[in-house]
Amino acid sequence: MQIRRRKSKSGLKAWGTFPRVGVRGGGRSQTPTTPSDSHPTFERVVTTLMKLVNWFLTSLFGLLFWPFQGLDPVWALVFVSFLCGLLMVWVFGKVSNQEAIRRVKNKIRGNLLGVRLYQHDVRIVLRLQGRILRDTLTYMNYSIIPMLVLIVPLLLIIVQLNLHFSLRPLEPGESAVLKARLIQTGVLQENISLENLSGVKVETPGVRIDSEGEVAWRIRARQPGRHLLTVKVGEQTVEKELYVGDGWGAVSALRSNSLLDLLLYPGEAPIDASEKVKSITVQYRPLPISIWGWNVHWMVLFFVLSILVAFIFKGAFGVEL
Amino acid sequence: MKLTLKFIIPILVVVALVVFLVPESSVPAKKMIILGVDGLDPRLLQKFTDEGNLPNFKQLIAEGDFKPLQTTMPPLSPVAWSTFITGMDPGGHAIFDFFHRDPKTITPEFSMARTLPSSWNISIGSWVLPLKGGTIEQLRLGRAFWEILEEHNVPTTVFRMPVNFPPSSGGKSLSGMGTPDILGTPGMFSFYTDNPPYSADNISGGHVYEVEVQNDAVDAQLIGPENTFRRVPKESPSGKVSGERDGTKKYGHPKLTIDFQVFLDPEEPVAKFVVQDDEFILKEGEWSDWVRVDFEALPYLVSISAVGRFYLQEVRPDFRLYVTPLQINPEDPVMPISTPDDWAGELYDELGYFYTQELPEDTKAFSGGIFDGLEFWEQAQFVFREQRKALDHLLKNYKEGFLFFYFSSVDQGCHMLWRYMDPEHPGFVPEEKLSNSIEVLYRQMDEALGRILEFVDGETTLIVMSDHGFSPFYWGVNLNSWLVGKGYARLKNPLHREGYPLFMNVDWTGTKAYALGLNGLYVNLRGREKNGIVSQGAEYEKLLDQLETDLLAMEDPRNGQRSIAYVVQTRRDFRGNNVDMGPDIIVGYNWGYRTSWESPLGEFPREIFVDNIDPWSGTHLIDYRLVPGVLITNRKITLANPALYDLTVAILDEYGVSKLPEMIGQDCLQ
Ligand SMILES: [Zn+2]
Repeated sequence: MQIRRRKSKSGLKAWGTFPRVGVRGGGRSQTPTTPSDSHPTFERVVTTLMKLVNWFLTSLFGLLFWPFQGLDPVWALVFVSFLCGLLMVWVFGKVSNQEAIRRVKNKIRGNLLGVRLYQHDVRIVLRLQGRILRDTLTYMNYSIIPMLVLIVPLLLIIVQLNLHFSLRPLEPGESAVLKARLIQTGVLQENISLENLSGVKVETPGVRIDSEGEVAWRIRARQPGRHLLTVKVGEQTVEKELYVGDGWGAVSALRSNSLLDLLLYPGEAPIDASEKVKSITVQYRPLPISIWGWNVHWMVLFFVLSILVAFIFKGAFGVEL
Repeated sequence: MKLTLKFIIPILVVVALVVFLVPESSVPAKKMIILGVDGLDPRLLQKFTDEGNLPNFKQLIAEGDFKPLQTTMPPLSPVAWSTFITGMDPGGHAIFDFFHRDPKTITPEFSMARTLPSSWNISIGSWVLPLKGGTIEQLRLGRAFWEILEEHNVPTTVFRMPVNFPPSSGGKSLSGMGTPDILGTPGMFSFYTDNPPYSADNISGGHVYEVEVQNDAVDAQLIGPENTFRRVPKESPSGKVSGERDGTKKYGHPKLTIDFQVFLDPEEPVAKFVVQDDEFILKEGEWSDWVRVDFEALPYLVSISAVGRFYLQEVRPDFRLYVTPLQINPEDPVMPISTPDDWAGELYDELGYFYTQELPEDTKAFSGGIFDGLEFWEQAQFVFREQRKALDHLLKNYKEGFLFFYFSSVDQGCHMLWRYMDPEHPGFVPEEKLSNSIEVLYRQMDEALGRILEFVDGETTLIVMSDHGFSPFYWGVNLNSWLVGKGYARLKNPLHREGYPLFMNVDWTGTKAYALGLNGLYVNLRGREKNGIVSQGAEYEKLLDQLETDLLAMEDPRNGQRSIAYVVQTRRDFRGNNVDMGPDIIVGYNWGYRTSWESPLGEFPREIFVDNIDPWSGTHLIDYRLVPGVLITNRKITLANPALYDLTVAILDEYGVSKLPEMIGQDCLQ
């Protein structure tokens, strides 16, 4: 398998980055989630906690993917889907009422058999179908708790996978748009510049879009590496990582001061709330993931593989799904 | 056991026979490379070689051979390349011009390919679901020589061969001239401005859209093809839906569109573009890379992919933005542009996006006043660099068999840049940066030839050839107006001259002949034309002879020159089964002359002879004897006057394949 820079033949557009980085600021982050005055300490605690979690998980996944660095990203994705499949079965087995699930599933099976046996007797069939429906609801009720328990780690994993598999680093020689957004509009009043340009070149003056509070530059990657660019607003400076290279890895498209973004974009520490800069975005391009020449979205591959693995290994774990 | 053996032995014998007898993969096929340079002219080539500027051509000519190559009548690229492809003259392959007419309506139609809409649809409300896709039909008749080579197990690679859309089967091929843009036209650029030029409505080959700059931002739309999945009631010019009462409501398809935004910096000449998921920044005077756009025809199910480039010509005081014709995306082509189907995608993987449109050099933007000479040069050079890069890629992967590679830069360049090098031209423009641009184009061909020579060993046959040469376009001839003057055609209102295209002002009851297309002249024949008045047989024959005599005697009163040097009577002079599909007469203009801009599409301006001051200042639409192409090879040429159709036979002969009975040429190489 090799990386093929082709979008799907189906004509469906690649889903791009998930979640999508707002193109025109429309709606999202219009009201910045800066720490409010009423709960400053609570916000700070959550932020610190999330920074810690992000740091831990990003390091963990970095370590996990380290052996796959030189390979096609699809191998790392297959590997991590496999691990997650196993993890899901194991956790499900631990947190669910296995005995109850087994019982209700047996009841459903028995009633299904009854439907086949008494298929000529409409009254019985209807009664059995009513029972099947009731038992199915009971079954779903039993699975809700484990599902809820699973959803938190799954979300964190997906966010990490998104960091690694949705975008690719800039190739040397390639250009991209880097955008800085300010907390307040009025980019014309500020003296804003992009500095610290080892490994990249700024090719245009900043385009100042007053209505969006945005300044955007065209940068061109030169040397491979993780470079730190500095956006300078007046006397304040905010850094943003820029990843240049031929392979794949943790590509952080957005650094922002919002708590939600910190959850969804764990690649970089949040911007301090005291800065005038609200967010800095780099328009990376999608990382193509393909199997046998067919392009797939990484999330589709991840879910299909991990669910498949879960079903294959449920017996080995003695778990009823 | 015995029974099994009885079956196994014959099977083994068959397998052994297949292995030994099928020659494939036994020896690599003989190598033959043809560099096809549209419009490469023997006189200019000789001149630049003599001046010492084309060392690789000089070397190849010294070691091999060089002769003018007889072109076709008319010496038009689609006609000439079709002759090269099929080994027949226009009477055989049926391509007589860029466009021809439907005799029933006398409206012009494209000659190279035709789109047939899907005929089997179901409509639900405003949605239309085609149960069977529409088709595109190539109109060139006859077999392409590489199809025949493939049948004889010769691997072929044919890059951008003209008149090959959709591409003929066999081998690897990418279509060239004749390939439409995403709108199905030969290439429609878009131009967005807050100050439209005076002539905006008359620009052919492009649309000018008026936009507003508000709060330093521009909202605009890319216009795509019609959405054949949707239907909307057709409105009359007054805005009424016709036939609503009597149930004969007519439907049309709405156009697909994509919104895009341009944000201008309030002071600096720089802007940010937002086009679907893409964002990019251009300074004034800069071109973007290729931008992929996807028109959504059926939400989440069908989208039409295209690529285009943006050129921010000016930010202030006027906002001026040019967008290339939207190209069929080679990564995800919506029309067949290659064989095998995925070869375009493989080229994309290696080369990135590229122009897929027929002749990508935007001569229309230049003629329409959107580009100046230097801007045209820059855009045309971009096209050349793309094609040059593709040549490197194909050479690197070339192992055996037949390779054809096509360059359009010399032809398109000579059309648009002739007036910069020719002080005698009525439209001569002294521009130092462009005065030797045609020579630069020839030097670039020389460099490309040098690259090819690195891959040519003693066993490889190398040919550099062109479809026709070049001449200046000093004066336009309004052939239709001449027909009126001579009494061959009559106008309904002789005072209505300008602004009545497509024969709107023609009185067919008094018209015996009309000119349509670049060199074609048709008789208004009874039983064929919708209002024909000339009878078949003697009257028709006599009219043709009379026309020929009068055409050859046509004189330009301003200088006393004959403006027509040669006349073909199609049915008399061509061979093949399809002579009836062509015009009745094909006109060969004299050196310096050409059909005017108005005449080919049925207009009748007052003047017969007009100075040509359009940027389109070079031509080859003249007497074919005056503009032969070029034949250069590392072999010896055995014919004194080789023609394009001889070369077809020579190619087949290289591989030991005999020519088809309908081919009219003979082998011209040693
Ligand atoms: Zn030409």
